[in-house]
Amino acid sequence: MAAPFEKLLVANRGEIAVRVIRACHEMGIRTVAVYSEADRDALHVRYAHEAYPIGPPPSSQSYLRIDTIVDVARRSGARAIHPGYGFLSENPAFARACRDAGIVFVGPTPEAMDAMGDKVRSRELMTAAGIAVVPGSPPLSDADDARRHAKRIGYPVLLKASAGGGGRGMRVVRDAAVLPTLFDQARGEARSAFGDDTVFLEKFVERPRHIEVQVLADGHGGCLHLGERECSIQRRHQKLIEEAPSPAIDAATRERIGAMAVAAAKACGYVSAGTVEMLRGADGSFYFMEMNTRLQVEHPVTEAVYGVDLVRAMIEIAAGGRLPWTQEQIVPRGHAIECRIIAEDPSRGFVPAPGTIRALRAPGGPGVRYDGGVYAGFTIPVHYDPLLAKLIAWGENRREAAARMARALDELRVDGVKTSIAFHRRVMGHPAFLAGDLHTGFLAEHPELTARGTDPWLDEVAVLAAGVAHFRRMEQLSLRAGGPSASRGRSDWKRGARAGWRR
Amino acid sequence: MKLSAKVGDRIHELAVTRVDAAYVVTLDGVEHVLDARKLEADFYSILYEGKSYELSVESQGGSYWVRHGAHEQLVELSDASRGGREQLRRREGPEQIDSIMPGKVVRVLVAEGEEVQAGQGVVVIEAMKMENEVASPRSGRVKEIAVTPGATVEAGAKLIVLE
Repeated sequence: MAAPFEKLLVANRGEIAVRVIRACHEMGIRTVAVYSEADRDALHVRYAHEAYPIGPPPSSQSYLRIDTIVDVARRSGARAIHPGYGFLSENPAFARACRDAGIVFVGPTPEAMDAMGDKVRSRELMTAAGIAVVPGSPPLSDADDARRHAKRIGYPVLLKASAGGGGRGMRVVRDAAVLPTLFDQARGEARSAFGDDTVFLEKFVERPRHIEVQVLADGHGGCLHLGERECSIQRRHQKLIEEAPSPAIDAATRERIGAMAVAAAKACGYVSAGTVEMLRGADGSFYFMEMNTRLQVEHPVTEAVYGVDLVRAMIEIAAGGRLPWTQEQIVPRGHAIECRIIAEDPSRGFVPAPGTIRALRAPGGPGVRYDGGVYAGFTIPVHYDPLLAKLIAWGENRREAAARMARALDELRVDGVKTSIAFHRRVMGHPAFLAGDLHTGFLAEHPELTARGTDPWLDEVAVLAAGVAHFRRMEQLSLRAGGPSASRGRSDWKRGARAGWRR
Repeated sequence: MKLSAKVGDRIHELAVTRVDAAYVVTLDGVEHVLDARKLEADFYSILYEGKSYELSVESQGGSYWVRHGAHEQLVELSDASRGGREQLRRREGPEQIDSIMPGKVVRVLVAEGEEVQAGQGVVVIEAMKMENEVASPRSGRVKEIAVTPGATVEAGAKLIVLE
């Protein structure tokens, strides 16, 4: 089959740009990379057939510049643009600019993005498609108003600041008696934190799991789902570990939420890959959160259990192709887990830890997939997100996948920067994780997972190794300085020769 | 070569010599013979008492991060003199709070002379599109503030000095 496009521009960077480039090269499509001044040495530039600069390091002046990127596509002769995730991927203005320039945007229509990007409209669409949304209230005028709405929604409820974020101005209210006090507190906190004391109510979902359903739709009315992913292990509402399927979901539930997601996608005329995100309460109820109108970071776990290539499917659909499968042909097999390897220090509350990667070894072997965007010697720019690589492990069942992931994490080595590798390794051996007892407060519930790294069994050999490394360092320094070597004046060459004779 | 080594809260005595291809490391009076080979990058293969360890050792000044699989341990080294040991001991309560990342100073949350608690945020630094609060590792009084909002700092730059 001929390639659907002769040439495609990847409007992204890092591991996802590399991921898209890989799909293109397998399909016989030539690739165009774009890069900011901070990314001249980046991996995606090295892998692409062509690469063009698009501006200074801040993404607002480079990876978010619609005009520049469309212009590069035009000049390079790229017939299509894949936006990856983040940056311009959910920007309807970008999709429109592509359309106006006669370039195919690999993703949904700007109209579908508009519909899903609008909180009110997307909630209406979801409700019409039979998906419950988290019940809430409009902005509250006073404590009496709050009490009326809380009664309607049902306790427990969550007081939230309209201008909010970071948990400030948030209060969980479990009964009506404490509502007036907590209402005043939330208001006061919102006022001092954001200069705006508007608060509203939402149903508080207890121990929620983050469950999301992958959908794929073509431009000919075909639409199917590829089951769910569970992404409950998060920090600052960002995912760290994802898996498919969810340990909390059985086949019947999968069919039910899959059908809901397909209905949601159809309701907005969705085309391409998309994800319907939901919260699942401890009582088994599902609530719609939002639809992500793009490829997700964690798409490889779905690819692993369904044996499909979602990026390839997106490109074929963008070229006017039909879905090559029916829903019945889409059957999951086994279990997959993904760990996001990030340049952050988990023991310091996941602060970013940029720097230069000194050494990097990717794991291999059965059932392991490594999607990286960096290499040894690469300096991680401070301007972008800290994702270095994704590690994906597949197994016949969840336990095998976790064991395989643990093994792969032991093989993976990223030296020179702080990473989340040791944290992920601890999670893979944690009883609550292995029991599948997950919810979005998992990290807060298990602080030992992010405690400063102490592995006491390593103490002795670590001290010995550090001693040897220090000795060698001093030896090399004195050799370079031409002074007497720390090893009694013999050079490495002579010693090597001596050892050779002895054998 | 005589050294002091700190792991966690404990300080050990260490002596290292080379005898032909092997390293003889004496740890707290016990002698260990290591067949240690430096391989690519930071990797070492260490054969020791019937076990094979693949370790990577990354150093920065006297700090050595030793990794085995996904596990890691920080070992701090100094010379074995009394002054060296003192220095090691003091590293548990630093007077100086350094930036843990390069970025831009957004806010300074404390004033000179102010008492701070361990874990309290002192400076907010923006890096990788996020605001990050740098916390004080111990309690004490702020003696000096070395940065002003708007300043660009490198990793390791001095932010605050405590007394």
